Amino acid sequence: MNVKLPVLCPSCAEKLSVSELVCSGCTTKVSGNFPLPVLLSLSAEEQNFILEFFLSSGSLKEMAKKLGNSYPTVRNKLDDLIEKVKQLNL
Amino acid sequence: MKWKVLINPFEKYSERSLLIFGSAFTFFGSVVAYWMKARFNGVFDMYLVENLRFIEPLIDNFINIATLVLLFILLGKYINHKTRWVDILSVAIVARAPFYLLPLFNIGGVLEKSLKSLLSEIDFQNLSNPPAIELSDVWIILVFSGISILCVVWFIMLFWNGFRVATNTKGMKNVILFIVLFAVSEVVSKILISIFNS
Repeated sequence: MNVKLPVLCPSCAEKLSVSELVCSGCTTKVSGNFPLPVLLSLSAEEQNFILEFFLSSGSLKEMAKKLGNSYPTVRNKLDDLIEKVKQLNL
Repeated sequence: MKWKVLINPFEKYSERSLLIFGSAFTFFGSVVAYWMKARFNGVFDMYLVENLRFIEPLIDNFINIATLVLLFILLGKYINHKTRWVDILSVAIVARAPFYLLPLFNIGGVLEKSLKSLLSEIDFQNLSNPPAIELSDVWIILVFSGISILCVVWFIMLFWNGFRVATNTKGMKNVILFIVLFAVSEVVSKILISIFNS
């Protein structure tokens, strides 16, 4: 099962933060209040888009071919994502 | 959803495919217009003529497409400086494709005959005289009018969807600018065709 990381509170829609980390080897737990990095605040689809962009060496033409979309469609998606990341960073 | 290709091929297909298909539509549309004696004297217009040279529908289409490209690249660059010429050109040549279906209504001169017969029956000096109109002529013209409206709507949908993809436009202000420029493009193309291709 592909578990989705929740980034917003299901009750009040505020940003969630990490309160506990667990070592997968010895099960040691670390508690605290760690904010989620900006990239993790994006949806899984948006994270995949950024990963694809990185793997295509930043070539939108290459990405358009891979995704089966036109160049301006991919460029628009990237521009919208840049705008969203800027908003999240504010 | 395959029907989406009919109203928005711009999201999916590369500018290369769009330009190849658009150029083919424009060329064959112009050839069909020549056979059916049709002219495209404006971005939204088609009318029938008695005589025409092979080159005339081609020049009409060239002027219509050039007008759309020149006006909408300005709006595109204003909305988003990343807008590319090639995307606006693909939109202009593909979106006009529905218009190239209209001359087919005149196969065998059917539409021309119906229009002439209808106009000859109307007494313009005395409009109170009821004209003896053939019902078949009325039907042909009504069906042609209905399909013409559908083609105009299809053209606008294609053009808007393509422009939206090419510029990533958002907001009501840009929609209004688009509508105004659409009307302007009709006037400009009519003037240019009357100067260079009449």
